[in-house]
Amino acid sequence: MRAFNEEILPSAEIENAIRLLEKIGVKIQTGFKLPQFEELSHNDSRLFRIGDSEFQCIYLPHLSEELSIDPITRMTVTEGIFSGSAPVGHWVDQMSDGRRAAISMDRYLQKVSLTASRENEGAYECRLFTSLKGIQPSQSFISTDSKRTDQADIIKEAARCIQCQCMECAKGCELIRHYQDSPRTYVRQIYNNISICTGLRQKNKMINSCSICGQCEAICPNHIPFQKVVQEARETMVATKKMPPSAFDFALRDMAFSNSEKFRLAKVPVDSKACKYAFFPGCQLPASNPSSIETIFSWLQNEMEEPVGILLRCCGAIADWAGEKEKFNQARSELLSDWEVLGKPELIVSCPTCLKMFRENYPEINVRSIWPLMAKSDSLLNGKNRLNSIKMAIHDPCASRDQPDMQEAVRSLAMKLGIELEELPYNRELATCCSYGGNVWNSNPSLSRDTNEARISQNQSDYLTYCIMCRDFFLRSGKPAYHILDILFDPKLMIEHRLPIRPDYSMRHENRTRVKRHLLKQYWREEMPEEAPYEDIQLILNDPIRKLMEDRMILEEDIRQVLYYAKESGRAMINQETGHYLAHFKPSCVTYWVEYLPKEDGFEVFNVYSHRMVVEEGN
Amino acid sequence: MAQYVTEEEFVHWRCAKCNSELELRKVVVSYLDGSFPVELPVCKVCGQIFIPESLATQKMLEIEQQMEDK
Ligand code: SF4
Ligand code: SF4
Ligand SMILES: [Zn+2]
Repeated sequence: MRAFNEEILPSAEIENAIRLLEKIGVKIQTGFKLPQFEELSHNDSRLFRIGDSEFQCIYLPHLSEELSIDPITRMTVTEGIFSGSAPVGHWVDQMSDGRRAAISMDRYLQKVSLTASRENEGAYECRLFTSLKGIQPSQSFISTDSKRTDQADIIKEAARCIQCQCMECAKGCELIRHYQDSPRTYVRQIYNNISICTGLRQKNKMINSCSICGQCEAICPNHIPFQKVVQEARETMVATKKMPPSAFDFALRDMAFSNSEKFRLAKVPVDSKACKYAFFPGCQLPASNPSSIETIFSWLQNEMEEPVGILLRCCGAIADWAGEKEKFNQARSELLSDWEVLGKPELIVSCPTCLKMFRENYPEINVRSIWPLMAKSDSLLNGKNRLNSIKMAIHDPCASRDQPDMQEAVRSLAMKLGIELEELPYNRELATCCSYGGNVWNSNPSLSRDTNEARISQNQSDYLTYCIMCRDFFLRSGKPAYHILDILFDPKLMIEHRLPIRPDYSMRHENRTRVKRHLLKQYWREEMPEEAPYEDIQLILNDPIRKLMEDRMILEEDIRQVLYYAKESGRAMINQETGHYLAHFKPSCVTYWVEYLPKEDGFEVFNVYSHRMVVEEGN
Repeated sequence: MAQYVTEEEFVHWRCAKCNSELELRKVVVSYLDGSFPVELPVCKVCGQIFIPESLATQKMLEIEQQMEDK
């Protein structure tokens, strides 16, 4: 080794290595001549004698192939003698020989198997997938003739390395990119995070930032089901009371609202006892496009030959995503009893997520997607809603991934409407999530925005979709986006280049209640159940305050409760300079603060904020 | 004991119920498994508490998030 040029193998490195060996008890003797292979044989105590010393095993450098060195263990035909067959000057191969033989010799001395689990030594075919898309083929710079390759060529050769890595899933997912590693690492981190006993659980945020959409599994050449790991981790965190209470609280309260008397409704047509079908619009379409619900409901009544009822509530997806098994089971059993009241109808479903939830979690219910029904119907296309070949890019909601019939039906409906469709990357079975999935919009608002930014930059055209949350998130990021129902029922929007209205969180609640109130009155001549006393408090909210409420996830109903409490109890602070009042109230887990001024026509609101910490307060 | 609210932040506020000034007093705030004594402005008469926006949206939020990851 010392014969090597100092530049290639500095002697200091050799000294270092020798010192390391000596530290672990290796004795280094030099200066004796190794015998030929043929001269070596075991003595009576099964040792080899060289000079005055005896050895249990020996490594002889580069013997010729004829000595039939075992390709895996590098042991020669004589037990205890190891060797390599790499030719002189082939250092990498020589190192490989030496390393393999060293492993075998160690095992030989320990009297364990020389051959067990050695398949991943040397060159082997690994499972790493590396896309060669966009990589130019190139020729080797290493000459095959005996001439030595010069340094410049060696550098060029090294530069040909494409540093194989997979990361195919990262190309489609903001979360995977954001945390700058691969699901393989994340799975290990998640495992550590949930097994930790004391200390900070630093990966909580990451676990709660996945949309559980399954795109990465659909892309992954090794089919790593990352979303299942996340789902299970969340369920474990909830079960062990380690789930951060604020992570999904706002989303869960949204679900609680949808399953309360404010929205929930199960009705059969007036003159029927049961119905064969029921329309299930889910919780978010009524929140975003309330007028579409009655339009669809009345269309279905004409379209179907049997009675059609209505079932309003949340399918439970929000609780499922949050890992809240108990809350999900509760929502599921309530839904089932409402469904039984209707006479166990087949549900006609418009939301891709609801449909997926039903198919996976409600085996007792027959469901069908509304889209093939609409695509086949002639009554919906009335000539007025036929557009003059408008170009739009279609975005498949992530929940449509395994529902190609739905994807096809919406495309054919769009084409009938005169829309010329462009396909986005990551559509159909690779569909991408808008960040509504997994409640990520709640647990990680900034990642949710980044996710939307990435998606909207993929095509210049306006986006067309069939999940109302996808539409609303794109609109929030400033992308013109339409739900196909926006166009079907209000084609003027497109013709006049107007955007659909994206309601804020408070409006979403109000719209749901409006849908219920309207349907009850219109079809059953019934009134809404009585309102809570705080509900008729009038608020005066300007745009900046509405924006602040949206960012801080504070609803009008939260503000009303604070003001009602202040009115009833007289408890508030007053600012001597501005004359503004400040009151606070804690309806459940969060304390809300409102700065306001009573006016003739209501309460003008100047500031709102909240905290979850509990403050011990005198009376 | 930590004091997170400055005099300036509450000098203009009075309790509207008692028409009384506020003063700094020791108050216990808690979240999940942790509780912390802090000095907060409260009504001298009825003990009603004043938490300014800055405290709720910064320090309190920070502690809440830390406690949630414990
Ligand atoms: S958001 Fe979807 S694609 Fe990204 S990691 Fe989660 S399941 Fe995979
Ligand atoms: S999870 Fe699958 S797609 Fe992602 S980096 Fe690993 S192997 Fe590649
Ligand atoms: Zn007071």
